[in-house]
Amino acid sequence: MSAPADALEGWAPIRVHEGNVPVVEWCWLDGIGFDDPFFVQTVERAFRTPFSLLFRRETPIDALAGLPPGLEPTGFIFHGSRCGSTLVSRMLAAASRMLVLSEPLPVDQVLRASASERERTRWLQAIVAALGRPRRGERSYVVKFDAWNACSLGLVRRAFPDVPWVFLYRDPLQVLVSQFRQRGAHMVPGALDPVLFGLDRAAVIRMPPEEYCARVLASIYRSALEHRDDRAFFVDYRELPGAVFERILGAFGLDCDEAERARMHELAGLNAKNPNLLFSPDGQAKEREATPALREAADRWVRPLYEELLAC
Amino acid sequence: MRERDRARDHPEVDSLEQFARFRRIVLADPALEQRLQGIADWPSFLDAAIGAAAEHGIALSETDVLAARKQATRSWLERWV
Repeated sequence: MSAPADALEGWAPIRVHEGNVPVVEWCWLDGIGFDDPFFVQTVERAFRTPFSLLFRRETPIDALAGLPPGLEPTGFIFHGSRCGSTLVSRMLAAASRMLVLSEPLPVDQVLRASASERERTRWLQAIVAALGRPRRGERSYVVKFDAWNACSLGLVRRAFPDVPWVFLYRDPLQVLVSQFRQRGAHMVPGALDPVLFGLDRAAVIRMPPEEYCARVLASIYRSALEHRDDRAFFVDYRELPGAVFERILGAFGLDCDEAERARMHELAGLNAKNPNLLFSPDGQAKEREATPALREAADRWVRPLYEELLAC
Repeated sequence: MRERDRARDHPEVDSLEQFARFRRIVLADPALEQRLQGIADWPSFLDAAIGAAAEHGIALSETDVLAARKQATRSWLERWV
């Protein structure tokens, strides 16, 4: 159901439906913060309330321009997946008055919409502003993008040229072993349009999975390197969690007090995606688990780019 | 197709249409919206929704609300499809 802008207090955009004019779907979230490791988990938590599940509002995407302006983004996080980005976003979220959105679905949807780059740029600005409306007195606002959104960095930088961004990367073999244990959407052939990664649709069908995944990761690393600018900060997984304090807080212009830093340290010892578990480094286990085919694919397609990232 | 036949052949569609009518009324009525927003459990919500719908002349049943719940859940889970 369509809604006037002033009826959206306490509601949040949760997804975008494509059409001649994209429609934004809003969910009643009042009282619930984006405290979960991922955006969709918070939405699903809201769905436990019957009203939130059953009643949604809808607005044409152009109506977002009529909303009170949200916070200006403080920083963006891009990553190669399995590189510690959830840890970083969780640590930043420990700071008070900080709104951190982790892989918000509407952002990915406008980035991958079937529309001109000009339209997608405008929609991205609108949806980031709508998501950034402070709900609990937040003053800073960080968006962690989906891994494959790094392939849209050109568009994001044009939409938000002044926002500092961090790119998190990791030894490609460790990323690929993790993906082979449990794949993200971008590592499942056909789940996302392979053209996004510069791959031919027909060729992907016959491609060995090791090669497909390695080339997707290579495309993400390459895009990050190509869009490197004076607002970019590249962080290797091995630099975490220290790099949060030493580089990322400064890159985003954030000033945290001792209590906030203590909370961040505490979070660094927990498993970011499941805060009920303690974090345990598993890099060596991943190395042992790697098959020869995966090693070869990592070395051939991604390692040269990883070396370039290390030199940044 | 006559209304009665349609309801018999496609009961879920009929339920969803019935709930959609109720939804339009709720979202146009801030006081009713606020009342329903504050209900955390399904048994209480079912009672409140069915009662509120009746006040507006809509014969909403528990089946209608549960069909809407199923459709909303499925729509969210199918977001990747």
